Amino acid sequence: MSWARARRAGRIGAATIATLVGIAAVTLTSACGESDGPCAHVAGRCLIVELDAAPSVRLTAIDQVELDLLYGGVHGTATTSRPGGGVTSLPLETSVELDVTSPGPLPIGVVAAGKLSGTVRGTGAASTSLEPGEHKRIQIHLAPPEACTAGTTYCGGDKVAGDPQTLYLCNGGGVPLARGVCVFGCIVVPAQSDRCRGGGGACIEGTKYCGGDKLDGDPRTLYTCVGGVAENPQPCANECVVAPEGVADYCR
Amino acid sequence: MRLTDRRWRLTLTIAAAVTSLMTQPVWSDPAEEQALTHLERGVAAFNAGDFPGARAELLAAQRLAPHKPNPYRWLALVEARLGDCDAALAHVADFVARAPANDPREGELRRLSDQCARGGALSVTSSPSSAAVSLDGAPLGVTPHREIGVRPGEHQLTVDKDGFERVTRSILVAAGAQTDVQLALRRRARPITRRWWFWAAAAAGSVAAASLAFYALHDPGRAPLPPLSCDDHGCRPRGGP
Repeated sequence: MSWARARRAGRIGAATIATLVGIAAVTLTSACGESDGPCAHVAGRCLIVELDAAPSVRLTAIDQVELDLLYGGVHGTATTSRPGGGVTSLPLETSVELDVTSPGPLPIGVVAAGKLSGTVRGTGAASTSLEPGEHKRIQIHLAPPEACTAGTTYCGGDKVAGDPQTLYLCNGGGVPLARGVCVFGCIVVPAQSDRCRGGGGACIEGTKYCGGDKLDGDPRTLYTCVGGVAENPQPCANECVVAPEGVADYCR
Repeated sequence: MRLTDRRWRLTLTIAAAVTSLMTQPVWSDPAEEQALTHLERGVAAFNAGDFPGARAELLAAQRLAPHKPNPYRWLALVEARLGDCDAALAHVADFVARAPANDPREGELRRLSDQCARGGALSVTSSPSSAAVSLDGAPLGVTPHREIGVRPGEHQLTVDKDGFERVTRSILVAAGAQTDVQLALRRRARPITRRWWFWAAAAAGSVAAASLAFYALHDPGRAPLPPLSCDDHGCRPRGGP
């Protein structure tokens, strides 16, 4: 018996029809609201970043998100906002596709700044790692940023949002910029720039080292070992490369 | 004189004995006296139309004087009026076994037996008519309906019509008599879930709720921000330079 004939014959009641309509509607709605949405069509590593206001913080909407990412040895910063402008309510989410040819887990540190009309209204940070092809979701709670001095470096959590073992540069009106992960720890120095702790043995007199490699300092700055102390800092435009033992570090 | 006195005393004694015999009930035994009392009450109840009450009294009479035929006769009449032909016929048999030959009451009970064999008639009418009639679960037809040869006794009569409340009633069909049943059917109050507009509203509500959920999830203000892309050289909006 066809559906129509069954309906005419009274075998399919109004209740059945209403139930089917409801199920179809709910299924449609569910299908359209899948949780892997922003990363749905990404084959490689993909990170969904969900931003929300920290508890007890009155922050309901922003119009721009600035992300600072440190993944592997690479640092990148980018902003995203609604096309054509406009305010976005919190919580919101965006995604980051990581097209990095690195086998195994890729450590990722993310610092986010939520801006409204050009002003940072909240910052927050989170870190994770991604296997090749893995999609993961992280949550970042935005809190009003503390006052940091632009151009000064800070360990994460010391006036800037971020990983405590990562050194950041206070960016004034933007997201703190990661300088690099401190392999031997990040030193908070009151009233001065924080820096990465040097480790891995004594430095060789007159040899150049990235900060944090045998000499305390900024991991994107090249120093000269003078009497066991970092002297003559030379900021690297891009990256400071830690060379193997016995070879001087250099700027890329 | 003495002889005369003796005769006179004998005459008085005989007269007293005769008087005593005449004033005593037919059932001289005390139990029989009680049975007679119950019998009289039973007959009075029967004549008043109280057949269950009559049955109780007559059974009491029958227990007190089981050899007397009259309680069985009345019990047979009562059971017939109550529609229990089997019991009535059993009492008829008990009566015949105890009554003298050619008892004039046998004719009455023979007619009763015939009526029991014929069964009773049942007439069912309803307002509105054309309602389905069934007796003890067996369909008989539609109202107005007349059924003859209905086994005497208690039956479950059901009258059902679409859109009206079903009526189930216990009826008593008496042997050889017609039982008339007249019913005024009450229109059924349909529950709200049986109304077409209820389910139409429910379906519309479901669609509306789903639409709201869809638009909430796809609210431009809630949609994900454009994605970013990072590689070995840094990060940028996906699809950007």
